[in-house]
Amino acid sequence: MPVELRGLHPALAASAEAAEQRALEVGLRPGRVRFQGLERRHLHALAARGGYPVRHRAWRFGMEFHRLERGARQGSLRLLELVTPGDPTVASLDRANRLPEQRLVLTHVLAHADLFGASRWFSGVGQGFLGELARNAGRVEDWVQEHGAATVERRLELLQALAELVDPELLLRGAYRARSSERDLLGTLAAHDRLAGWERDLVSVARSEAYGLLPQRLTRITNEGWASLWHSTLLPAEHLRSVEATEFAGTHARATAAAPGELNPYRLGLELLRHAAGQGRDLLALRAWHRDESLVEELLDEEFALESELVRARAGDEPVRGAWRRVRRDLLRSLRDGGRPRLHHEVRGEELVLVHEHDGRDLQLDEAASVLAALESLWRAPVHLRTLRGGEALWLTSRGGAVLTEPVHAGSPGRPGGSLPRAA
Amino acid sequence: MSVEPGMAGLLRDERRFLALARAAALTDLEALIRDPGRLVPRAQGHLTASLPQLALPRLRFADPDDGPGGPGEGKGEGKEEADSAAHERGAGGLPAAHELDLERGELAGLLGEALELPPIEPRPQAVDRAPRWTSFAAKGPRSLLHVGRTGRRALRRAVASGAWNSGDSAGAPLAAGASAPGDEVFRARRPARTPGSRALVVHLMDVSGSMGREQKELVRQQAFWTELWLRSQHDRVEVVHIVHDAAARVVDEDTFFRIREAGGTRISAAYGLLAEELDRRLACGPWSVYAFHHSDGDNWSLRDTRSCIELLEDRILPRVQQFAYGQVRSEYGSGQFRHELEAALPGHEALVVAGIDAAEDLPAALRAFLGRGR
Repeated sequence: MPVELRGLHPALAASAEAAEQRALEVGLRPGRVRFQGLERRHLHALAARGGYPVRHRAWRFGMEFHRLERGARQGSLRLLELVTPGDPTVASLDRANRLPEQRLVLTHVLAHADLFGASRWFSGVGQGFLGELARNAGRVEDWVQEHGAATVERRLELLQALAELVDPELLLRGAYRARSSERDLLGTLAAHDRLAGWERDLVSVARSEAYGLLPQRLTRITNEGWASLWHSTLLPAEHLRSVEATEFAGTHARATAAAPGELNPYRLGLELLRHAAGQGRDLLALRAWHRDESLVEELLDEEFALESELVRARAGDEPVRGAWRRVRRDLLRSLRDGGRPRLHHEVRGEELVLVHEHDGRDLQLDEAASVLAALESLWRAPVHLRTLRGGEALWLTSRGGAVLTEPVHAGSPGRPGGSLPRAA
Repeated sequence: MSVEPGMAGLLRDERRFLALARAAALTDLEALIRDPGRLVPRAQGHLTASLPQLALPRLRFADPDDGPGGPGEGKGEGKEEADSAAHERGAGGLPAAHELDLERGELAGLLGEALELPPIEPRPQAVDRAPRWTSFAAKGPRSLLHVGRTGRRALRRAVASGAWNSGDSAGAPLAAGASAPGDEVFRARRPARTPGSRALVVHLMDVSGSMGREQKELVRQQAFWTELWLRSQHDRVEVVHIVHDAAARVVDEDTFFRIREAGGTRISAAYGLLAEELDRRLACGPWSVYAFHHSDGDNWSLRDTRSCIELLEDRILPRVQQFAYGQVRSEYGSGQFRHELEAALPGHEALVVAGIDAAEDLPAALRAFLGRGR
C-alpha cells in the first residue's frame, strides 16, 4: 500500500486508506506517502530546518527551533503537520495531537503530495533533494574542519543573503543543474575561479539548497489552496461524527482566517480554485502548470474580485469595480519571483556588476549595502549595484569594504547601465 | 530514508543563536532601560525582553509603508523566511521583535556588562539562611516528636526512679506509655547564619504635589534596575520604602509608587526617619546600606535643607555604602536642593548626585549610582 503509517495510532490506518481511496477517485496521484508521528520537540526540530532532517549548521535554524519551542511552551503556537516533498512524501504529525486532528490532515497531506508529484515547478528538483541536503551538511562540516567554524559560518551567512539571487525559470526541468543564467548569481560564483575552491563548494551547497527550496516558495498559494480545497471537499461524511465536525470546522476556519487585506495563502488559494471549479476549469491541469504568480494572473478576474474580501479590503475606499485591476497588479507584483527583487549580473573585467530591474518598488538600501560589502569580501574586487531610489538612478559600490552611493552619471556612452563609478 | 531530525547539530545551532541574541541584548540594553515597555516580567523571576529581530541582511524591498506597495504585502516576509511547509496553528506570523527570556541574574549580568559596572567587593557579614531542623525543644506539635530522644529520657527517668527492672526491654517505659510530658523532646529549628553579604536598600521619595506620575515612573524604573543589580551582588537584600512630603513614613512597595500627597516638601523629615531606621537596623549587626532619594529638589526652606545636610553628614553618610540623590524635573520644582547638596558636601565618597529628567537619562543615572562598585 502506498500510504504508510509510523508511530501513529493504529486507528488512523483505516482512515488513511479511505482518504487515499477518495483522493484517487477524484484523480489525485499522491504517490507514496508516509505519515509519521513525532515527539513535539522532534517535530519542531524538523520544522526549524524547513522540513528536512539534516541540514548544514546555521544559527538561524537554532533561532527557529527556539521560537517554536517557546511558542509551544507558552501555548501560542502549535504545529498540525509538516510535509516534506520526496519519495515518499513524508508528513510529520505531532504525536500528542488528538486523533480527530490527525485524521483531518490526512486528505490535506495527500493533496500536497499530489501537487509535489504533478507540478512542473517541483519536478526539476527531484526526489534526491533530501539526500542532497544531508550530503551538503557533510561537506560543510569538512570545510569547518579545515577552515574553522567561524569562517565557514560567515561565508554561509553571506550566501544565505545571496540565495535570493536565483533564476526561477531555471527550475523547470531541472535546468539549473546543467546551466546558469544572467540572473543566477550563485551559478556564476560557483564556477568562477576568483573564489577559492572551498568557497566555490560552499556556493554550490547554497545554490543547490536555494533551488531545492524555491518551488515551495513559488507555489505557496497554489499548494495551500490545493490542499485546503481537497481537505474541505473530500472529508467523508462517515468520519464526521458531530464532535469531529466542529473540530474540523474550527481547524479549517483558523487555517483560512485572514484579517482584512491580509494575504493568507490558504484562503486566497482556496477561493481562487473554487472560483476556477465554478467556471468548469480543469483543476488538475491548473495545479500541474501554475506557480502563484501565474495562478493569480489566470484566475483573478472581475467576477472573482467582486466576491473577494481580500480585493475589497485592498481596494480601500474605491469601489471594487474600478480598483480591482490595480489590486490585481499590485498582488501580482508582490508575488513575482516569490516576492524577491529581480537582479541580473555581469562580470566586467575584475568587477562584478548587479543591475536591479526596478518594478516600482525600491530596495532596502542599507541592507543592500551590507550584502554588497559581504559580496565584495567573497569576490575580492569591487562590486556594484545599480538601482533606483525615488525614481533616481543610483550606483551602490562596495570597494575596500566601504559602500558608496552615487547617482548614475548621465550620458555615458555604450553602456545601458551608465558608466561604473571609479575609485577617486 | 528516515525523516528523523538530528538533534545534536540543532542544539548547537540553538546555543549559537542564544549567544548571538545575548550579544544583541547587550548592545541594545541601554535602549531597553529607556523603554521599560519592552521588558515584561514572567513567572518564577523570569523576564522577557523584546529585542530587534536578529536577521541577516538580504536583498529585499523597502518596507511597504515607505513604498508604493499595497497594504500588508510585506507581512508574511518573516514567516516565509523559515522556508518551511509547516502549518502553524494559533498566533500566525512572526512577531516583528524577537523575544528573549532571561533570568534576573542573567539580566543583571547584562546590565553590569553594558554599563560597565564594577562588581561590588564583598563585605563578609553573617547572613541569615533558611533555618534547619537540627535543634530540639521541650514543646511542639506531636508531628515533630523525636521518638528516640523521648524514649531515652523516659528510660533514664524510669531507671533513676527505680521503676525499671533489669529484665524489661529498653523500650518498655515508652511501650507501656510510661513517658511523662516532661520526657518529650521535639525537633526544633536552629536559625542558621553563614558568612555572606547582606544589603539594605532604602528608597526615599518625595510624594508632594509637585511630583507627577511621569516622575514616579522614572523612580520606579530606576529602583527596578538598582535592585536588580544589588540583588546580583549581595546574598541577601532587604528593601525599605520611605515616602515624604512635609512628614515622612515607611510604606510598602505598592503604596510607595501609588501614593500622592498634596502637601509641601520637608526633606529633613525623610532623612530623620532614615537615620532612625539605620539606628534600629544597624544595632543588630552590619549591613551594606544603599539609600536612593528622589525628589524634584523643591525643599520647604533653606533652614530645612541645612538640617538635611547635617543629618547626612552626622548620621547617614558615615553608615552607608552609598547615598544616591536623584533629582527629577517637574514643572514646579526649582531644583535648588541638588545644588545646595553638591555645594555643602563636595566630592563626598558616599554621596552621588544625578539628574533624571527623562527616561533618556536613566542609563547615565544608573552608571552614576552603581558605578563606584561600593
